[in-house]
Amino acid sequence: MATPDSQNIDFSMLLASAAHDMKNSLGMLLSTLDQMDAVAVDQAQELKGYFSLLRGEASRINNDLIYLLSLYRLQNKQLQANVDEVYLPEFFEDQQLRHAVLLEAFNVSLLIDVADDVLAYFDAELIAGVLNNAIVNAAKYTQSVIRLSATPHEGGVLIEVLDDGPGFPPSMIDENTDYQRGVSFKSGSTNLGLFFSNHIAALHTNEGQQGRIELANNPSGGGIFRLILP
Amino acid sequence: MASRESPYKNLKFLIIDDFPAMCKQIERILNSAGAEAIDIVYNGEKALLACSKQKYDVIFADFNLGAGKNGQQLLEELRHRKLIKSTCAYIMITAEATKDFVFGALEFAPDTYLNKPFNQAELLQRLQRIVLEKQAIGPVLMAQEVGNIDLAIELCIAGIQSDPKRRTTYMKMLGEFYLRSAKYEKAKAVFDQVLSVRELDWAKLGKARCHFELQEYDQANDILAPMLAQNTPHMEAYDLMAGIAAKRGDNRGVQAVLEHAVSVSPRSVKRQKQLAYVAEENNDLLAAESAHKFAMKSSEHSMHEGPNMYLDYANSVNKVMAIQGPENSDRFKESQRVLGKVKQKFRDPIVTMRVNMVSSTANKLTGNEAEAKALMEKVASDYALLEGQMGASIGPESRLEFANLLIDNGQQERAQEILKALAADYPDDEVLCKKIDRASSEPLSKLGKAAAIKLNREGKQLLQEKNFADAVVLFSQALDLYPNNIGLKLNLVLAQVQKMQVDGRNAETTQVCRDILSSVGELSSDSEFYKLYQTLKQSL
Repeated sequence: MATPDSQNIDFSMLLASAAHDMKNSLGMLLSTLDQMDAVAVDQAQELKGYFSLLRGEASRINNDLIYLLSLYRLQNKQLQANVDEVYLPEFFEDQQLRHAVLLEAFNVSLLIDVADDVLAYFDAELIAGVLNNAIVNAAKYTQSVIRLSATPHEGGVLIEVLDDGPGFPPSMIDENTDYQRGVSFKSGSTNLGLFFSNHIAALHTNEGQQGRIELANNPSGGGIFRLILP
Repeated sequence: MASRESPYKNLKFLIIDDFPAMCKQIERILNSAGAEAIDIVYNGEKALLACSKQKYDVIFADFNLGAGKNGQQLLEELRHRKLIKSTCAYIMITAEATKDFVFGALEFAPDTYLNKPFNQAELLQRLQRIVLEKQAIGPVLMAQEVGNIDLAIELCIAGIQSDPKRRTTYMKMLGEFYLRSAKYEKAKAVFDQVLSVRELDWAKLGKARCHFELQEYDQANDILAPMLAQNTPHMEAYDLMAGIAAKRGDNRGVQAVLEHAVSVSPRSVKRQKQLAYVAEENNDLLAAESAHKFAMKSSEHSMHEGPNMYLDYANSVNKVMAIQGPENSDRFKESQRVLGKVKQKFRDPIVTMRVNMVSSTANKLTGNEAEAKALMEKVASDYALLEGQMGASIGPESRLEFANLLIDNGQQERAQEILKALAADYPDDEVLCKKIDRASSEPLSKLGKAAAIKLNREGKQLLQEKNFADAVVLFSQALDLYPNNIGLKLNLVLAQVQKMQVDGRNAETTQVCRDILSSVGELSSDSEFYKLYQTLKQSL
């Protein structure tokens, strides 16, 4: 083997391959958890609680790794938006069911507010990842309700995730927020999810328009995560 | 909802997962929704068997099925062998960890996905949606299955009117059916209508295909080039671009596009194989070897698996060794290992004979003359025996490989007889004909003959114009395609000799020319090239 050169380690590549390995292991862990959960169907309620805790934490790590890997692929031009027509009512239902366990654990209800015929064009898989981050975050801070809404917007669509919690801190709502500049370790939250969401939104383009995200607070209380797709 | 009129009561379900507990979980969920006919298998082979006995309406398959086929390879084989009806809903269960490539852009895409971990409600919702979809478009799929494309087109047009929610689905199918029935202008109109609303990849690809079929290569290129620049995961874009390069006679271009395609999606056996063949034609033997190796590895457990995958690879290793010399012993060992595996795996007298052919050449190239000779003798007697028993059904590959082996061992005349008979038996097999012409000392196939006539005309023209440099390039490139062709060899030497008469004599070129002439061997006096050969020999 060649002499190792510690000055020129390509950390993005190393991190990406480590993240890939970790994600594979977590995938195994999660599916084993599922198998155990299935076997333990008649077991005590207490056990169920542990399962959901384990699954929740494993999912969180898994999501972070997915964000990391997606960003790495994006940088290396290996990630494209596979854009197709998506009906928002169906898409929201999917998210509702996907997060049923989490929402139950937090005792939060997820309401869908969208007209029957709202459709948009995006990569359903990637945008589900964006909403996943927004919903998991909202579930942590909301009092009782999260509202998912979608409305036609300048030829595209405006998707909102609204909660009735204390709202976002002013520093996050400022124009030059961390998630736009990059990931910061100072604030205590790395904002990796928002950083990812911003990039995934921007991957969606149409007729010179680019997708974006916005954070806002509702005058009547609660935070708003906005996703604008062209 | 489940009790009285379950929509799943009369549907037949198949669950494929290597984890029995997972199968049980899915079965329980389906039961709770009123499904009754549910079969469970734990691997791909068992799934193939189950599907050949019974026509299922819904299949749940995990992507990861442990050792053996994966869920995607299984789907390809089921569709290819028509073991599932077109109305069957194939639901692929994926763990995020395995979703490294875009399933949706595959040729054989599943109907829908279910990401692990999933809960009961998610599974049932996904199921309900896909079953409703399959029911709605069922008549179109059935018309297509019995080959009634006109009816399928009619049904799509009606669907666009009556079912606004599935309008795009019907438009996509309609464009596809128009393309398939060669109504390119109509197809283009459909794709254009979609594109006027949104630049969707499938519509862009459809339109590019229309342009391609209408021989409007520039327009097709304009649509495809930006998609390729973005590393699109849609493999059809690369196939079309390679097709354009091929139509323009740009073999290097074909290779470059295919190399790009396999860098984006390395698992396609078909494309790796195409790449290997075109690289061989371009005399890029290292690229050919690498593509054959990839194809061999990806073909494992897939419907493409067979002795040819392994033998092609071993043959390509020989070709590299013939150029690079035997010093790379790892290469030789690897190919010997593969050959051993093939013999074990297929246990068939023809395969064994073909292995011995490759092995004989490999041994010769690595200096094991005695072993090479022993294998050659064994092959010769086996070939005579098997050909006596089976005649032509010994297979075109065996005949071609045997001819090549004879050439390597200086038995040109016998080889030429075999090649002639082979070309006569398979006049319409383009891939095979190319290989025959490549091995042969004269063009034998229809295409090869036409190419030779064209080459000769262009070459003579250049020589008459005293453009010797271009003539040398022309004949050299042609020799890449037909390395054993005597006429081309002599014409190349002729061009070089005439070039030297102008530019002055050059020791290096003279030696190259002498080597080429000696590779032709002695020509008999009744050969059409006898006079030219004698003249050239004297002038050198």
